[in-house]
Amino acid sequence: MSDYQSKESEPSVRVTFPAQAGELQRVREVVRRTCVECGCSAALANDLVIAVGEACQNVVRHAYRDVDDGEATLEIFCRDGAVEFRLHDNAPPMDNEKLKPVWPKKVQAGGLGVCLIHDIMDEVEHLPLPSGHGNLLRMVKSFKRDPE
Amino acid sequence: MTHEIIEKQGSSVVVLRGDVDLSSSPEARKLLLSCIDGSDRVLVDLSGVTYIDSSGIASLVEALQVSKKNGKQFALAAASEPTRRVLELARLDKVFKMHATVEEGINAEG
Repeated sequence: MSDYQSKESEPSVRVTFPAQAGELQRVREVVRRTCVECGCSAALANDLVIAVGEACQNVVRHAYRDVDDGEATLEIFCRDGAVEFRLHDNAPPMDNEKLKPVWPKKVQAGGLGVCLIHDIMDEVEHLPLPSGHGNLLRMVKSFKRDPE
Repeated sequence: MTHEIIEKQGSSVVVLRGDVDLSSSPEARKLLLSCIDGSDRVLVDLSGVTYIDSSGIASLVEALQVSKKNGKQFALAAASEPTRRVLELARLDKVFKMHATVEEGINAEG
Protein backbone atom coordinates (compact mmCIF):
# COMPACT_ATOMS: atom_id res chain seq x y z
CA MET A 1 0.00 0.00 0.00
CA SER A 2 2.77 2.45 0.82
CA ASP A 3 5.72 3.13 -1.41
CA TYR A 4 8.87 4.46 0.21
CA GLN A 5 10.93 6.76 -1.99
CA SER A 6 14.52 7.79 -1.52
CA LYS A 7 14.88 10.83 -3.79
CA GLU A 8 14.78 14.27 -2.14
CA SER A 9 12.13 15.58 -4.56
CA GLU A 10 9.91 12.56 -4.10
CA PRO A 11 7.60 12.09 -1.14
CA SER A 12 8.88 9.95 1.71
CA VAL A 13 5.65 8.01 1.42
CA ARG A 14 2.89 7.84 -1.15
CA VAL A 15 -0.31 5.97 -0.34
CA THR A 16 -3.18 5.48 -2.77
CA PHE A 17 -6.38 4.21 -1.21
CA PRO A 18 -10.04 3.62 -2.10
CA ALA A 19 -12.07 6.53 -0.73
CA GLN A 20 -13.99 4.35 1.70
CA ALA A 21 -14.47 4.67 5.45
CA GLY A 22 -13.01 1.23 6.08
CA GLU A 23 -9.67 2.25 4.53
CA LEU A 24 -9.00 5.19 6.82
CA GLN A 25 -7.48 3.26 9.70
CA ARG A 26 -4.69 1.92 7.48
CA VAL A 27 -3.96 5.40 6.16
CA ARG A 28 -3.75 6.76 9.72
CA GLU A 29 -1.25 4.06 10.64
CA VAL A 30 0.97 5.13 7.73
CA VAL A 31 0.69 8.79 8.81
CA ARG A 32 1.65 8.00 12.40
CA ARG A 33 4.61 5.83 11.44
CA THR A 34 5.92 8.28 8.87
CA CYS A 35 5.61 11.30 11.18
CA VAL A 36 7.66 9.53 13.84
CA GLU A 37 10.23 8.56 11.21
CA CYS A 38 10.34 12.22 10.15
CA GLY A 39 11.32 13.19 13.70
CA CYS A 40 7.98 14.26 15.17
CA SER A 41 7.35 13.53 18.84
CA ALA A 42 4.70 10.92 19.63
CA ALA A 43 2.33 13.69 20.80
CA LEU A 44 2.76 15.68 17.59
CA ALA A 45 2.37 12.54 15.49
CA ASN A 46 -0.95 11.92 17.28
CA ASP A 47 -2.14 15.44 16.45
CA LEU A 48 -1.09 15.05 12.82
CA VAL A 49 -2.98 11.75 12.64
CA ILE A 50 -6.07 13.64 13.82
CA ALA A 51 -5.67 16.39 11.21
CA VAL A 52 -4.82 14.15 8.26
CA GLY A 53 -7.51 11.69 9.37
CA GLU A 54 -10.08 14.48 9.18
CA ALA A 55 -8.83 15.52 5.74
CA CYS A 56 -9.11 11.95 4.44
CA GLN A 57 -12.53 11.61 6.04
CA ASN A 58 -13.69 14.75 4.21
CA VAL A 59 -12.63 13.22 0.91
CA VAL A 60 -14.73 10.12 1.63
CA ARG A 61 -17.75 11.94 3.07
CA HIS A 62 -17.91 15.08 1.00
CA ALA A 63 -15.69 15.11 -2.09
CA TYR A 64 -16.78 11.63 -3.21
CA ARG A 65 -20.27 11.95 -1.71
CA ASP A 66 -21.99 10.50 -4.79
CA VAL A 67 -19.16 8.26 -5.95
CA ASP A 68 -18.63 4.66 -4.83
CA ASP A 69 -15.30 3.90 -6.46
CA GLY A 70 -13.26 7.06 -5.86
CA GLU A 71 -9.58 6.96 -5.01
CA ALA A 72 -7.32 9.34 -3.14
CA THR A 73 -3.55 9.64 -2.81
CA LEU A 74 -1.71 10.93 0.22
CA GLU A 75 1.90 12.02 -0.13
CA ILE A 76 4.05 12.80 2.89
CA PHE A 77 7.23 14.84 2.53
CA CYS A 78 9.72 14.89 5.38
CA ARG A 79 11.38 18.32 5.28
CA ASP A 80 14.01 19.79 7.55
CA GLY A 81 11.96 20.63 10.65
CA ALA A 82 8.63 20.22 8.91
CA VAL A 83 6.34 17.61 7.51
CA GLU A 84 4.17 18.29 4.49
CA PHE A 85 1.09 16.35 3.42
CA ARG A 86 -0.53 16.48 0.00
CA LEU A 87 -3.88 14.81 -0.36
CA HIS A 88 -5.11 14.39 -3.93
CA ASP A 89 -8.45 13.18 -5.19
CA ASN A 90 -10.24 13.04 -8.52
CA ALA A 91 -13.59 14.25 -7.21
CA PRO A 92 -15.41 17.34 -8.44
CA PRO A 93 -13.70 20.49 -7.10
CA MET A 94 -14.76 21.32 -3.55
CA ASP A 95 -16.28 24.68 -2.71
CA ASN A 96 -13.52 26.68 -1.03
CA GLU A 97 -16.07 28.27 1.32
CA LYS A 98 -16.78 24.86 2.81
CA LEU A 99 -13.09 24.38 3.55
CA LYS A 100 -12.76 27.49 5.68
CA PRO A 101 -12.59 26.94 9.44
CA VAL A 102 -15.71 28.31 11.10
CA TRP A 103 -16.04 27.27 14.73
CA PRO A 104 -19.69 26.53 15.55
CA LYS A 105 -21.18 29.28 17.74
CA LYS A 106 -23.03 26.70 19.82
CA VAL A 107 -22.43 23.04 20.57
CA GLN A 108 -23.50 20.97 17.60
CA ALA A 109 -22.91 17.54 16.14
CA GLY A 110 -20.76 18.23 13.11
CA GLY A 111 -18.67 20.90 11.43
CA LEU A 112 -15.51 20.29 13.45
CA GLY A 113 -13.25 18.47 10.99
CA VAL A 114 -12.02 21.48 9.02
CA CYS A 115 -11.51 23.45 12.24
CA LEU A 116 -9.35 20.67 13.70
CA ILE A 117 -7.21 20.56 10.54
CA HIS A 118 -6.57 24.31 10.66
CA ASP A 119 -5.91 24.31 14.40
CA ILE A 120 -3.29 21.59 14.18
CA MET A 121 -1.54 22.52 10.93
CA ASP A 122 0.55 25.67 10.32
CA GLU A 123 -0.43 25.92 6.65
CA VAL A 124 -3.53 24.60 4.91
CA GLU A 125 -4.14 25.23 1.24
CA HIS A 126 -6.88 23.88 -0.97
CA LEU A 127 -5.86 23.88 -4.60
CA PRO A 128 -8.39 22.90 -7.24
CA LEU A 129 -6.41 21.11 -9.91
CA PRO A 130 -5.85 22.99 -13.22
CA SER A 131 -7.68 20.29 -15.17
CA GLY A 132 -10.88 21.38 -13.40
CA HIS A 133 -11.23 17.92 -11.98
CA GLY A 134 -9.94 16.86 -8.60
CA ASN A 135 -8.63 18.55 -5.48
CA LEU A 136 -5.30 18.93 -3.76
CA LEU A 137 -5.16 19.71 -0.05
CA ARG A 138 -1.70 20.77 1.07
CA MET A 139 -0.98 20.81 4.80
CA VAL A 140 2.30 21.69 6.50
CA LYS A 141 3.39 21.40 10.12
CA SER A 142 6.70 22.76 11.38
CA PHE A 143 8.34 21.33 14.47
CA LYS A 144 11.50 21.47 16.50
CA ARG A 145 13.37 18.25 16.89
CA ASP A 146 14.06 17.13 20.45
CA PRO A 147 17.77 17.61 21.26
CA GLU A 148 19.48 14.23 21.26
CA MET B 1 -14.72 -0.63 17.24
CA THR B 2 -16.21 -3.06 19.70
CA HIS B 3 -18.63 -2.34 22.48
CA GLU B 4 -20.21 -3.74 25.60
CA ILE B 5 -23.13 -2.54 27.70
CA ILE B 6 -23.02 -3.13 31.43
CA GLU B 7 -25.92 -2.36 33.76
CA LYS B 8 -24.55 -1.19 37.07
CA GLN B 9 -26.28 0.51 40.01
CA GLY B 10 -28.97 2.08 37.86
CA SER B 11 -26.58 3.23 35.14
CA SER B 12 -26.07 1.86 31.66
CA VAL B 13 -22.33 1.84 31.10
CA VAL B 14 -21.48 1.82 27.40
CA VAL B 15 -17.93 0.58 26.96
CA LEU B 16 -16.41 1.58 23.61
CA ARG B 17 -13.11 0.10 22.47
CA GLY B 18 -10.86 0.64 19.46
CA ASP B 19 -11.17 3.33 16.79
CA VAL B 20 -14.41 5.31 16.65
CA ASP B 21 -14.21 6.75 13.16
CA LEU B 22 -16.30 7.22 10.04
CA SER B 23 -16.68 3.47 9.60
CA SER B 24 -17.93 2.84 13.15
CA SER B 25 -19.51 6.10 14.31
CA PRO B 26 -22.96 5.26 12.83
CA GLU B 27 -22.94 2.14 15.03
CA ALA B 28 -21.76 4.16 18.05
CA ARG B 29 -24.51 6.73 17.45
CA LYS B 30 -27.22 4.07 17.21
CA LEU B 31 -25.93 2.34 20.33
CA LEU B 32 -25.80 5.51 22.41
CA LEU B 33 -29.26 6.69 21.35
CA SER B 34 -30.70 3.25 22.07
CA CYS B 35 -29.16 3.24 25.56
CA ILE B 36 -30.50 6.73 26.27
CA ASP B 37 -33.93 5.54 25.18
CA GLY B 38 -33.81 2.68 27.67
CA SER B 39 -32.02 4.20 30.64
CA ASP B 40 -32.15 7.37 32.73
CA ARG B 41 -28.38 7.35 33.30
CA VAL B 42 -25.86 6.60 30.59
CA LEU B 43 -22.14 6.59 31.20
CA VAL B 44 -19.71 6.09 28.31
CA ASP B 45 -16.47 4.34 29.26
CA LEU B 46 -13.86 5.72 26.84
CA SER B 47 -10.80 4.11 28.41
CA GLY B 48 -10.36 1.68 25.52
CA VAL B 49 -10.86 4.16 22.69
CA THR B 50 -7.65 4.35 20.68
CA TYR B 51 -8.79 7.04 18.22
CA ILE B 52 -11.90 9.13 17.75
CA ASP B 53 -12.60 11.47 14.85
CA SER B 54 -15.10 14.27 14.37
CA SER B 55 -17.82 11.82 13.33
CA GLY B 56 -17.35 9.94 16.62
CA ILE B 57 -17.38 13.20 18.55
CA ALA B 58 -20.58 14.15 16.71
CA SER B 59 -22.19 10.93 17.99
CA LEU B 60 -21.29 11.88 21.57
CA VAL B 61 -22.59 15.43 21.08
CA GLU B 62 -25.87 14.18 19.64
CA ALA B 63 -26.25 11.72 22.53
CA LEU B 64 -25.66 14.55 25.01
CA GLN B 65 -28.24 16.75 23.31
CA VAL B 66 -30.87 13.99 23.17
CA SER B 67 -30.23 13.20 26.86
CA LYS B 68 -30.70 16.82 27.89
CA LYS B 69 -33.85 17.12 25.82
CA ASN B 70 -35.31 14.05 27.53
CA GLY B 71 -34.16 14.85 31.05
CA LYS B 72 -31.66 11.97 31.12
CA GLN B 73 -28.14 11.94 32.54
CA PHE B 74 -25.26 11.45 30.14
CA ALA B 75 -21.59 11.51 31.05
CA LEU B 76 -18.19 10.33 29.87
CA ALA B 77 -15.72 8.40 31.99
CA ALA B 78 -12.06 7.40 31.98
CA ALA B 79 -11.37 9.15 28.68
CA SER B 80 -8.23 7.78 27.05
CA GLU B 81 -5.54 10.27 26.08
CA PRO B 82 -6.46 10.26 22.35
CA THR B 83 -10.12 10.95 23.23
CA ARG B 84 -9.25 13.64 25.73
CA ARG B 85 -6.98 15.34 23.18
CA VAL B 86 -9.65 15.47 20.46
CA LEU B 87 -12.27 16.78 22.90
CA GLU B 88 -9.80 19.46 23.99
CA LEU B 89 -8.91 20.44 20.40
CA ALA B 90 -12.63 20.53 19.55
CA ARG B 91 -13.20 22.77 22.59
CA LEU B 92 -15.72 20.29 23.96
CA ASP B 93 -13.84 19.10 27.04
CA LYS B 94 -15.90 21.44 29.24
CA VAL B 95 -19.19 20.64 27.51
CA PHE B 96 -19.43 17.04 28.65
CA LYS B 97 -19.66 15.89 32.23
CA MET B 98 -16.44 13.91 32.53
CA HIS B 99 -15.44 11.51 35.29
CA ALA B 100 -11.93 10.26 35.94
CA THR B 101 -13.12 6.69 36.43
CA VAL B 102 -16.20 4.63 35.68
CA GLU B 103 -16.74 4.07 39.42
CA GLU B 104 -16.72 7.82 40.02
CA GLY B 105 -19.28 8.26 37.25
CA ILE B 106 -21.56 5.58 38.64
CA ASN B 107 -21.41 7.03 42.14
CA ALA B 108 -21.83 10.64 41.03
CA GLU B 109 -24.96 12.47 42.10
CA GLY B 110 -27.18 13.96 39.39
